Amino acid sequence: MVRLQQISKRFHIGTPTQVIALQNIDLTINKGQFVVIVGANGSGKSTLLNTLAGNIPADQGKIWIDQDEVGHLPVYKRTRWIARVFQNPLSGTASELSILANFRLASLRRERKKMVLGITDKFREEVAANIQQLGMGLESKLDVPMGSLSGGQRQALTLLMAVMAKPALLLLDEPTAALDPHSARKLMELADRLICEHALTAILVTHNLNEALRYGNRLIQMQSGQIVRDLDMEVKNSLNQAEILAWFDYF
Amino acid sequence: MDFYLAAVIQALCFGPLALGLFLSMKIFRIPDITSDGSYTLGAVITVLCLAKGVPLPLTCLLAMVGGALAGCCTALIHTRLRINPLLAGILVMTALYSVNLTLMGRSNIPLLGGETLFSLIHWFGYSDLNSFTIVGILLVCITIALGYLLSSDFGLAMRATGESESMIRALGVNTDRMKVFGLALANGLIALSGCLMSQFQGFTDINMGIGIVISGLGSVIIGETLISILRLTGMWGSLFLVVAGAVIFQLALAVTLAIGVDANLLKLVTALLVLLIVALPYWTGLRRQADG
Repeated sequence: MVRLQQISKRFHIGTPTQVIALQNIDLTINKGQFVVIVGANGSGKSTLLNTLAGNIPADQGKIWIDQDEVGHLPVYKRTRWIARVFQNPLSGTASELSILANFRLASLRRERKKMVLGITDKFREEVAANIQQLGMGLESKLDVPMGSLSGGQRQALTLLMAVMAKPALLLLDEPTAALDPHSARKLMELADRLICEHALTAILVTHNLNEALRYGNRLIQMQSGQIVRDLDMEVKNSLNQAEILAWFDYF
Repeated sequence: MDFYLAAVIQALCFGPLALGLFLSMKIFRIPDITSDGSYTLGAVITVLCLAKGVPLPLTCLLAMVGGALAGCCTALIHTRLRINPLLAGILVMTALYSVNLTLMGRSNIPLLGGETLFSLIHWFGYSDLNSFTIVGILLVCITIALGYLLSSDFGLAMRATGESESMIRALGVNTDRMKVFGLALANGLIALSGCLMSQFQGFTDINMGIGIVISGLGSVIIGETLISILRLTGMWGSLFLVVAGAVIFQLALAVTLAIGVDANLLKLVTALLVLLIVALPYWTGLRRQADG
């Protein structure tokens, strides 16, 4: 379970350009929930995600994941609970390292990176078996540098890397924004399948209303740093695209 | 022949420098020029320790620790105070000049008698061959150890730190601490180079580090070119090629001296040589584009 209590964040405090990014956010996400967050640019959804991940410290408020209060921890300590897929495919993987090396690092998300050779034949087989489910033929290219792959392939691998250590919370930060429609759909189907299979708690931030409708079992709309709509599975399923579009329509 | 063998031995003394710069510039992508100072610091510690009768292995270790501390300073200035790493390196390098001068008390100290690395073995009748063997063995050991480190889980995290900080932080690595460790290791190696060089040439001079970063960089770039030609991905092979780069670089300098270039112009020749090496891939790339 993930719980946010009275989370607030302002930028440029005390200057004319002061921005209230998050305003007393209270949010509880139960185990196994797949929450989709939509909102216009500047509505605070990215700040919310970054506050959860630890990239942006909140001005006030507390964040619990299961029994632990994590709000004061830096990014690299929250990785015990949180895995993240970035908007930019380049941010989630190291280009010059091989696919195998990237997976090795991901497998050590919660552990110390020790001075031992961790890439054994056994590990190689595990990764190959894991990658096979993508159906991209990448399992035979484990020693290829990540940089030689396409954005869609890298994003799919990042997703697998994020899921392999069974995180308590999976953050998907507009993961398809840089992909073509076909790759985007493939990636989201994979994400949906993996989240269901492993019963993961996940948050998806997206601008794509189709995705917002199709995936997840809870829909949240943010506006001016506040949660203005919070719909459960049943209500969400009864929505159509025109209705969500109307949320953004101020004419 | 003697002349070229001496150049190769000198190149092997520069080996740890090339490996250190490979670490900071290529693995961590930090343009670290603390090296000019840490190289001299290694040589200063060596000459002082050997004069005091400190055992040779401990002397080498102390030289490396000195360099590592200098690297730590640069990395801490960069990570804690958020200062550009280039500037941080210049600051530490400048400060080290005074530190080195104070430690030495004068600008040049010769290494008088006593045991050095190069007097350890007498397997061959010819002293240069002994020197070559011992420094060669040392370098093979260092390269293998460093290759192991960079291939380990910890090493993967180091390499990822230079490439994609956001990624490796999201995988639970404290990148600031990693940079401190990386620059400490790099400058420890560079100081070891100073330690070897002062033993090889038999003295330590306050100015011996000036422009040394260029020699190291030239070696690294030659090594990089060899790595990309041979399409190597393994770390051990890459590190050996970086050392090979140092040898090629020193041989190229030796050749220019042998054909009668004034020794006073050595730094100019060095700079031009590095410029040539850096520009070469660009030129050949242009020609390839023109052909295609």
